[in-house]
Amino acid sequence: MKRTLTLLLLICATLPVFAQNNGGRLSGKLQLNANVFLRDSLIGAFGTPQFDHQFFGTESWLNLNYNNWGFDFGIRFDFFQNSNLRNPRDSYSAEGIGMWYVRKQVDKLDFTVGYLYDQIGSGIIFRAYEERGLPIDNALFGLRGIWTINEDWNVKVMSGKQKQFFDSYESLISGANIEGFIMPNEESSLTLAPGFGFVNRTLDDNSMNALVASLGDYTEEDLFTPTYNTYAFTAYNTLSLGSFNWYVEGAYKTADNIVDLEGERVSKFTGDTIRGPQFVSEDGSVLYTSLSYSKKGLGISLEGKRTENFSFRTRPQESLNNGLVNFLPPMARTHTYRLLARYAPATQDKGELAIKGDIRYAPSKKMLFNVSYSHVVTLDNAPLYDEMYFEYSYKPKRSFKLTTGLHMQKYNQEVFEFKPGVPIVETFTPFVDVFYKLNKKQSVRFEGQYMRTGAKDGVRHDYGNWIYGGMEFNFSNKLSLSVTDMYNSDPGKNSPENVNGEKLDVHYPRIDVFYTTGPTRMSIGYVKQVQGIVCSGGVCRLEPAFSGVKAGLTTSF
Amino acid sequence: MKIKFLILFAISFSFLSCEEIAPVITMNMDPIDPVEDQQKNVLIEEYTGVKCVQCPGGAAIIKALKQQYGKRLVPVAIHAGDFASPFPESNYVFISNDNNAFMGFVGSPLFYPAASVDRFLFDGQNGLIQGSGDWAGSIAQRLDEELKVEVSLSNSYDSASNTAEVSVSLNALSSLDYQDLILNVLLVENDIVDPQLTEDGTDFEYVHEHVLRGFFTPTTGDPVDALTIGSSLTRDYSLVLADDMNPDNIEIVAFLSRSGAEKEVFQANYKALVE
Repeated sequence: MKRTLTLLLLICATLPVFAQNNGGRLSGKLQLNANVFLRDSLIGAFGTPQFDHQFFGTESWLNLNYNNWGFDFGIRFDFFQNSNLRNPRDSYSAEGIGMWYVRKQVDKLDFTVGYLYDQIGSGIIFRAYEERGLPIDNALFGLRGIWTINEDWNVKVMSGKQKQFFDSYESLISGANIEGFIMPNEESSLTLAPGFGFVNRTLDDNSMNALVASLGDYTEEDLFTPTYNTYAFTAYNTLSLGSFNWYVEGAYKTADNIVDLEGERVSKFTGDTIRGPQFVSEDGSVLYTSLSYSKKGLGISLEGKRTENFSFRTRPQESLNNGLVNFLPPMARTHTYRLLARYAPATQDKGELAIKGDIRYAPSKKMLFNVSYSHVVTLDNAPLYDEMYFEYSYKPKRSFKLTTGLHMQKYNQEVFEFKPGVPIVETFTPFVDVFYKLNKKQSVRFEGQYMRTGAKDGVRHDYGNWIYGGMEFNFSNKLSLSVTDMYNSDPGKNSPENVNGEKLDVHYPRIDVFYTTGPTRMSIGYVKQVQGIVCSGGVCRLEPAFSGVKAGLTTSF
Repeated sequence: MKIKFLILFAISFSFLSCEEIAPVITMNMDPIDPVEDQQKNVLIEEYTGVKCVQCPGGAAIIKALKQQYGKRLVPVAIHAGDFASPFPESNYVFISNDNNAFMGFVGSPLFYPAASVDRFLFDGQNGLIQGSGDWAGSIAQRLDEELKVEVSLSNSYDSASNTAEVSVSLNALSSLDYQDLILNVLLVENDIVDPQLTEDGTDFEYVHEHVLRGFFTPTTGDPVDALTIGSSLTRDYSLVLADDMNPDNIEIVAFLSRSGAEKEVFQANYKALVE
């Protein structure tokens, strides 16, 4: 392995020379994050090595891609030092080659060896992707071949082991996928894009031995025969007809060793009832569909999803965002405004029934209305998430834009954050966003939100009410300044308290300076951040409080 | 095209017709028989807290494992981190700065309940701290390890001064040529009734077991020189018990491990303070 990496590094080191001499093309991307940790015990920013004694931490990624002689080469150097990204409660330091690949097209065959990022359909049975903020990097380390049957159809096969930081899990994941495009005739406005996919995961011996050891304490009632092999199938199609687009996907997974987080069993050794994560063997299914319609000034989209026992991991002992083989599409709106994004629902792979609708209507170039609705329940019809969103944008001239609206949600914190007994968090949040362009280069933007939460027994849900205000000054095309404050105006049950047990109305300010030149963007800011949930595409994790300085740099070449 | 599609479909489904030979699940109900000679024991450090709702489930799993493996399993419940601050109704404060430091020496769990088993990094796992689904397998694997050093304890209790005294002996059966060896000696207490958050709310009659309540050695351990085969070492420690400790329920735990990037525990053992 070390020799391979050394060889790859040597290749990379010589790439620029070849790039100049042989007409190859070298490109790359750099991302660097740096954190200075300033302990603030009031908001809970303490008790980790970074806040206690390390103080400085960094993460960076350098991607290099080179194309020549009909090959594509890619390599990524990852560097983590005192990083809290992998585990916000701990410190992680490691560096090395995070990813590499070699790709070649030979006639109709396209093959890749190395770390593969890919997905089948919408990702319901397989998705290998990188999401640095969570962090997820579940590339498949192995081989992939894509055979182009004709200009409309291709077949893909792949096999490998899932990436585990700088190592790989031992379970084997293999898959195949055929996708096509059908147009009945050249004049037809009807097109179809069908596909079928298959994935197999063969559990490694260590994971099976660990599972068998755990099952040794299960009584006959809960005991099952674990399987090494799990098979997942999916069939999907996109139908396009004029302004309509209809996507539908159905997936099935054979019996798999999965974890029921709300399990309850009797210990064979003690006779005690054990509540909590329990291994079970269940098959699973997902039905997902989305329908969209768009014409000038009007866009409508509707989505529906039914999920049952569709946890699919490289080994059943993995939890949180580790070892995910697949990806279940989220059914909630993605928000950019700070308070609106505070309570984001994670996709429930155990079971959920969800619908989502979104209508955008622009009666003129100056106005836009947007209405959105999400409704998610368990398969037993217990509420998980409800959301209503109204937005109105008014842009009378190029230099001025007003966006305002209202957001309401009901968020089952007990399920999403494993907090038993807490009430469903209800929020009511009006917001406003005003943008004004002073001249060609300078502009100013104001953003304001007020979140009012529900109350139980006179105590506000979770952290209670919030006021958020922010100003953004763009001094030129290159330099901008952002000043924001998130104020816990009416503290709730979980807000910080003083030594006398009195709730405190804490400010969480943030000041950032951004500088952009060409493809390079730099930022530095002072941040005080409340504990919350960070999500991306329905995959979420708890993000503890932070206090300190964050700096960032991204560039590409 | 339809034919190709059907062929692929048929091939993928044909895998289902292959019947697996199922793994054997041990159904032995009998605990492992105690033996006179010391065998490789396994340390399980459970990270827990009185406000961790799923931790009673973790403790019940450890209780079952303890029933299964008897003296060869050495559990320590470390109350530390976000979920360990006491209730207003708590009679005991299990969490301490030392506990947090002791946990931080191994790592900080992202979720609870979590545990480290012999502070060993197992293949396929993400770190020294693992979820409850891995505990049984990790313990079974470590029990098969060769015993490289014997750890023996001799305890005494002076009721006049309310002091626990322990003499820990190491007897190397293999060469442990490491410059980062440390000896940890801990005081744990059983059968403590105090509030614990459960899925049914706060249980005011919850019985806490194996609770880490004191340190005879620093949280980073007491350094030990490299050991050659046949070498032995004895160290004496003492600790004044807190007023709320019951000497009859106290056990002294000792284990020898490494303290650098690798933290493997070579042997752990425990003995009641008062027998």
